[in-house]
Amino acid sequence: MSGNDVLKVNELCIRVDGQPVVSDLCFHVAAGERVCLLGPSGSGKSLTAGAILGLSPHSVHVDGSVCINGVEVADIRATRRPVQSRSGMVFQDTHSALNPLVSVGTQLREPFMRFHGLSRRAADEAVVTLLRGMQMAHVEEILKRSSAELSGGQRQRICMALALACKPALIVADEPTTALDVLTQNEVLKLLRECTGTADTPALLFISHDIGAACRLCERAVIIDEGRLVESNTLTHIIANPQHRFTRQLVRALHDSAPGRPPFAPDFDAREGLLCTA
Amino acid sequence: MSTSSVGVAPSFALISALRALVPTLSRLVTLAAVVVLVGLLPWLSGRDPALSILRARAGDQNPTPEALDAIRAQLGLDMGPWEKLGHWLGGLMHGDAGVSWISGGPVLPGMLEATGVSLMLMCGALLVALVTTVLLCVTAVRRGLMGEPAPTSGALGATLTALPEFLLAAILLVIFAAGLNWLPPYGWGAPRHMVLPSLALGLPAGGLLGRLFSDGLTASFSERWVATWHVAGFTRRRIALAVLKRTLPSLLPQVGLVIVGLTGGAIAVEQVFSIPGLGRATLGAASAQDLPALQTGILLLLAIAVVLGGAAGLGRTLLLGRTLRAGAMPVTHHEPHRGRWPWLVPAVVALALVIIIVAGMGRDPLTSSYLRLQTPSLALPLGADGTGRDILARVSHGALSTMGMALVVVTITLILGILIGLMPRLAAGPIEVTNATPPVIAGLVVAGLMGPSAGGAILAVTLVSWAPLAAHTAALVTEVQGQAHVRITPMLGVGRLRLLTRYVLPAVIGPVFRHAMLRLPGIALALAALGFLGLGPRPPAPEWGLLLAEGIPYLERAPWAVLVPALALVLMSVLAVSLSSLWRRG
Amino acid sequence: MHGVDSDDAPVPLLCANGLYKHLHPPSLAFWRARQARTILRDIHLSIQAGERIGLAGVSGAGKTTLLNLLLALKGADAGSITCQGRAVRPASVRALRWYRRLVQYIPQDPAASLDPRMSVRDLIREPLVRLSVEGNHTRRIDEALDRVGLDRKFLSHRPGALSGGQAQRVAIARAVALRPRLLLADEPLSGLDLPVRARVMQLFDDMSRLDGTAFVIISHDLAVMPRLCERTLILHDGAIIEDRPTAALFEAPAHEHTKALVHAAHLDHDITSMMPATPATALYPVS
Repeated sequence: MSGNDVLKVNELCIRVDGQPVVSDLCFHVAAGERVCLLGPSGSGKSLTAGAILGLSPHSVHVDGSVCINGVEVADIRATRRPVQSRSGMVFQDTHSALNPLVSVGTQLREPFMRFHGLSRRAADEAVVTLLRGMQMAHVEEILKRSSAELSGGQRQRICMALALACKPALIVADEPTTALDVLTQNEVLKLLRECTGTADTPALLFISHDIGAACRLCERAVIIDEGRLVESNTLTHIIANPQHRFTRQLVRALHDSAPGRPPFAPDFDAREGLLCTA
Repeated sequence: MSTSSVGVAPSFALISALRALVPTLSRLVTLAAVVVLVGLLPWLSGRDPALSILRARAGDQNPTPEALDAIRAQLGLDMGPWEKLGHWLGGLMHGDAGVSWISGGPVLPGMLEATGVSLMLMCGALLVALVTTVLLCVTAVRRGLMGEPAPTSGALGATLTALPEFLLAAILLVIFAAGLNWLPPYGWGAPRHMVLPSLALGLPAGGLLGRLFSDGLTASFSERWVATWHVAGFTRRRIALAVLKRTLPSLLPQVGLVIVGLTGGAIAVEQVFSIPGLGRATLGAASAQDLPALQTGILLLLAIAVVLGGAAGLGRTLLLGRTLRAGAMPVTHHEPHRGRWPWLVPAVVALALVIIIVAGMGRDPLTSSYLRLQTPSLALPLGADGTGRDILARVSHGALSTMGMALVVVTITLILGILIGLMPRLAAGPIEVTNATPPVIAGLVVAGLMGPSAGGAILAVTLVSWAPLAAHTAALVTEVQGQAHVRITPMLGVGRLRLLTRYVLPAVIGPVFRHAMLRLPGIALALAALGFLGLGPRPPAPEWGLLLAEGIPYLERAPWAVLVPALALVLMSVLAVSLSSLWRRG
Repeated sequence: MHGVDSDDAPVPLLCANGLYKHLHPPSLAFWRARQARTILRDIHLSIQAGERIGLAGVSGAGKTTLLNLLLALKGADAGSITCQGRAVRPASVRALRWYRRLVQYIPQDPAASLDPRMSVRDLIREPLVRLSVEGNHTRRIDEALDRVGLDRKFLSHRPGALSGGQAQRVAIARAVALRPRLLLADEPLSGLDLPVRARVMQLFDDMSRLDGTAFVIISHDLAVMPRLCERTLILHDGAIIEDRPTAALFEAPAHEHTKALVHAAHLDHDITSMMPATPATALYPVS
């Protein structure tokens, strides 16, 4: 198992201004796997994401081990990590994830030139092909724009394209759908599912508080509450048999948010809604 | 749908265009008002210019009505004010700014020549400022590229900013001209004459810009896209350039203000180093009541300020380009950074000032009871000045009068600032224009109107100091109006007056009051600068700026007469800067 | 046209007729006439007393703009709104008092809409005084608190001393104390804990059943509608594309966009169907 782990987090402790926020967190993500990290707000999810990505702010102190592709990176900032241990990142706040003063095309072109060794022209073509593959309309038009001129859904897809273009072994997505409306949420989730989690695509660590979204995307869940791991199992198992207080609450919330009537939509395909394999 | 929308669009376009033009219009209106004010100076000043000219030309000869009438006719003072204004403006169009009342020669050629000198001095100062800024930003850029953007302590930048130009000029003069004898103390022409004035003018500006830029660069480096770019394989050079380009637009308005501030600082520096520049010429005209020369000088100074401010605004628009038009510029988040003891420096400095004040309280600041320039001793701890007065007593009493005047200014500006800031849209233009007027230029105008006096200095500093408070109030009002509990008030039937007094004002008044109090030392310094230039209280009042000016002639024989007031002012400056940085962080 | 009522049909509480709203994007090139974007087109809406209506649509569909028009905070470019036969358009606070007494609003984050400097008593009293409501204010305040299930001891508290759920109930009590005929609620259930959610739903039920208060529930998520509303409107690209009973809408969505929304609402539900616990319908029976 440990041989093909893309991400291995061991005894991770995070302290903010001396106060422990996350303690003794251990989990792993294998190659080609999609794992979600679930927890209520304030449980330390985003701090964990920051520690894995090497983006923790200064007031945050990280102890323990974070291994990406076999390289120990807990103490290394994102900007100084070796290329093979870099992970793609997708955030909730898409505004700040892209430089608003540089056109989207210029930002997408760069990784193709650096990591795929393409010429400028070939890189531009590769960008167009990639975005077309992600079902984006008006690709040429969008590439000329600044990220500030795009809608939230479009920006999130550009961020995902940028993460994919870097050919990382792992993509960390921190609440990527929270700021979007239901339909765009579904599109982004669908796209994440199509682009990750197979042998030749990156593994995915999906960080969210929404168990519904997690069910549609991931096979396995790691659940934390108040900075501690409380449950770790396949999602099918967790939903059928929630153990911890918070997990039960999550599952109850799922009941509650669902419409009070059975699904009668004529072309509704249940398999698409649920990825968990029993 | 398109048919109806086309019909509506033009009227909407007109309204929104007018709205967009409001700042430009109010800038022009304010500028025109200043030009008219300057043009009417001879009448507004309320003194008989013919009398002063006769005195200037013919000494103490008794003025006869015939002689006065002759001078009036010669100067065109028999015209009415508006007729004279039209005449003056008409002359300006033809490149004729009038005739000096003192020398009788045309004013413009000499003033243009002086402008050339001033511009050269400002270029030198800008070079110094640029180098200082770059040096102060090296650490921020290096840390940012390492992926650990952290605010620098900014101690060096703060120290440089702490010294107002007239004070730094005096200190440089003491050290490099009088003490080490490396560089000439005054004069103009050779390149080595430019070194000290450029340093005196450029270092404070560079210190301020360096702090602003290292803070701004740090904030931009902490944005998420920098990490995204690193992962995407962008080179460090491209990331650094992109971060600079990201930082510039938000700082350009402040850069503009700093550069405009150079025009005010240049006046003081030219005075200290006896440089035949525009500032010194204008200052001379003000003290000699040579109104045509004063008018021309003020007009040229304002023109320089307007051009520089406009250039900064243009640069911002060009840099932001379509992102500005999209109206969706993401806001940079700044991680607040607090030193371990943020109150330590201001507390120590304030204590030192209090000790000086208490020590000198019981002594007499006005009588010359000691030898001229008597050296410090136990009975006379800080020595005596050029007329044998106790320097400790003068500094102590000066602190009280300077601080007292500053308190008056702060109180008035607080009230003005809140009142004007409550009408943000209307006030946008005047705020901009007053913000871009250095206090020294306002002091020149006021001194031209009512002669140099303590009251004039208070008025001048008040005229330009309300703007930051009004801008702060306006920003807070906008913020409060966006809050959910205020946005819902129309639904609750809350009227406009109650909204203002019950919801908006209580939220605004606390922060603005604290802000005003933290500006107290800075305002005291501006008052001291006016005193130093002879635009404030008259001798023998014990005022710090005046004390420094009085000491400079005895620089070589009695350095303590310069050093003591300079040190007191440095303490005040450090207090000002440390308090204002407390405000920025809190 | 639309709003013609025959004598026997009840006069609708609120009626919107052919509303249009255009947006003129700001531009530096002010001399050029710009193509305005239409945010709302031809909106017809009539609300009867005691009726509960859902208004769903994705972000950018025009929900917020329509809400602002209905609250008379912004004026329509064409069309009219009438309430009990009187025209409603933006006007001075004084001129709109009658409308504010009839139509109230619960914002998306009710807790944030409480002034932190006021006590709970002053917060609830403010609209009663400002809108010149007649009668005994103290009794109305007590009644409203009882309604939302909040103890009287909270009257002297400030919002800072309340928990999120309590603050939410104060904000609702403020609207309820006016005894409005119509309540507009913006995303009333998002961000609420489970017990508070149940309480809010119960309160809405009571108000419409006992007092005949009408509701407009606005949400981007269709999933909340079946529990709260008998009728659901779908707003898409500034136009109302569906206006039908909620059950019918869920069973046979006509428009492509509605199908997508219904589909999205079902995704979560489908996961719950494999849970061994009590089904959702048992938790909250649909009447």
